Amino acid sequence: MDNLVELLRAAIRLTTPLLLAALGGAFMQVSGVPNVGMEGMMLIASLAGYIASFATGSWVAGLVFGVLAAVGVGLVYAFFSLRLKADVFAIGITLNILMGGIAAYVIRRYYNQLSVLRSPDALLLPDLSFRFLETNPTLNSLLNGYSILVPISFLLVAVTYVVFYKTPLGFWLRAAGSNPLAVSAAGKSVNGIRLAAFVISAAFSGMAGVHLSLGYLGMFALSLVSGRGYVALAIVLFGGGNPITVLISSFIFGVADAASLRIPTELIAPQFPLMLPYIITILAITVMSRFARSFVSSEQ
Amino acid sequence: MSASSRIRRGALRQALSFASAIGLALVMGLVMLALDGFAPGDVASSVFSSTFASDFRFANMVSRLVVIVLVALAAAVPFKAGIWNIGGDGQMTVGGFVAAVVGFYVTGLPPVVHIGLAVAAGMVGGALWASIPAFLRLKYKANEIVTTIMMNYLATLLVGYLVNYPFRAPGSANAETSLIQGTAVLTRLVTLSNLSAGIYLALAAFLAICVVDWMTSWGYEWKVLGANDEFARYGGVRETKMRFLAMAIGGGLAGLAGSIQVLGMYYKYTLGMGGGVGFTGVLIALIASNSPIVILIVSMIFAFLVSGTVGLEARLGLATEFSSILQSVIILVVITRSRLWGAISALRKNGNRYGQSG
Repeated sequence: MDNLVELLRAAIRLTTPLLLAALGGAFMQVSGVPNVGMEGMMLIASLAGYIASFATGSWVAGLVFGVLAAVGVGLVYAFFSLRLKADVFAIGITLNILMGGIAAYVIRRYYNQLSVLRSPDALLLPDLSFRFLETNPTLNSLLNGYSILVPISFLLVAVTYVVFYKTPLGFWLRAAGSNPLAVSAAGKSVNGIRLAAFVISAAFSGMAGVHLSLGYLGMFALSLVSGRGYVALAIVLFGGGNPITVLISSFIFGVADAASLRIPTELIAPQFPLMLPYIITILAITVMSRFARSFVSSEQ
Repeated sequence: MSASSRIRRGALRQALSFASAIGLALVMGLVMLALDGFAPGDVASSVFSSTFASDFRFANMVSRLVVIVLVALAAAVPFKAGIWNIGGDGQMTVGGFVAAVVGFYVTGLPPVVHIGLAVAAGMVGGALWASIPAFLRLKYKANEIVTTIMMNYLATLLVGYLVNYPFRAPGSANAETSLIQGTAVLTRLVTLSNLSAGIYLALAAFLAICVVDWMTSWGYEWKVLGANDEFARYGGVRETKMRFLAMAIGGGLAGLAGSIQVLGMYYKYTLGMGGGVGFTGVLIALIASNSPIVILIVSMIFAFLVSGTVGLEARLGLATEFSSILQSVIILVVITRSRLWGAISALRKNGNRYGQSG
């Protein structure tokens, strides 16, 4: 039981970065542009957030600077994709490589580190506990005491759902994706709507990155994101941008991620459990593309 | 204006556009470093020290070119056919490992045969690894950008397991295979350097791709597929077969790059030996996939950048990843410029049309 609770807690903590990034990715996806740059946005946000936290001694500053760094990447991404009409996949991949280079440059140049940045001055994201859950020991041990972005990420599922389906912004976002010509005809700027989606998506990826360094791991590493941005892209693609599907898929990947770190190495060499999230991504995107063809295939 | 002179002017303009973009990106790099407190003179001399300063340095730079041009083709051939291959790293890992295994376990062969066998095995390994995401894309429409990247992580983990356990060199402290047999070694061409006879294999592969691209129906079908699949289908191009083939060839080229590293440089498979060079190949393919010659030229420039940052690391303590910053900036500048050119020529064309009708 304790093991199960511990596994589920780890799964919930690892669901959060995927959930945040993929929810943000959904904003862009429904507006008609896939976000291929989440990997780089998360990486640069996790670094900027961590540095800001230990430089200022404030986790709020960490969160703000992490999100701002990601939004900066998002604006560059939007400039190339929307203004110059360059291929979104090409620019996304290029920006991911660029962010990897910048992160490596920064930690080597300014902190003389090869791959990991850790500081005792870093103030991590605070844990959050809800009074009303404390009365029930099971719920308390399962649902309380997570770093602050974990409950926020689950709250944002509901927020995203409401925005998508109950607000004018959501209406226009979806219209820009499904029928851009009609949007133009209605006198709205498709690029303007999509720009909003880029900024929102980048901010969500930024939170995901900050959660990884300041919430989950407590330090920065160049290998911190290791493909999660692309897993998040897969989640967005096979959910077609639906926030509920995004939630379910992210949790499945969170469980796989958590399990992969907890399968005892006496049973099996450590490399095999670590393959789990990647294999599941490949299988899931293969199976799901039959159902949601238009969203998963490269031919849009 | 005749058609051929228009094409020539187009090629010239593209070359000029490239040259100025790359020059601009290099200047930006120098300015960035200057703003960060490095004197341009120190930067230049450090870059020189690890590139053109001696035969040995120059040979090492050429050995990087060998790998880079192969991984660039590995991304560019599928890209041209309208299918992404971001999995060059994984294909290189698998290919290199397979070559190391054949190089060690097969004995008693004459050198040329043994090398041929090991290289062929490495290429098949890379091709098979690439054909998994190709199959999933072409049969099930699974997005190959996602799957090829996932296959990179899987290759690292799978080969990581293999060199840690079943194929680990006895008594070795590192995760690596045993040294290959002498008969599988690609001769070193310059003393102490990494440059081996593998360069001839790479040259042969490059020329083969040129021939396929220029003289065969495959090259034409890939081009049509990449430009417009609907038109290609209408024109009878075997879409699935040609794309699968492009991906498998790409994987084989990445496998060749891994094999050359193993047989001509490390003489064993060591974990992490590719060092993420596959992404350099992807970047090159993004701007140069239309022509093998352009790929070769951009690969030369990128090999110079990668080698140059080795000097920057040794002398100024910079991370070697600085080269990936420069590479990405070059790509962004080239894309910006080509977009601007496109916009300008569209304007001019419209202007002409109005002029004619008026």
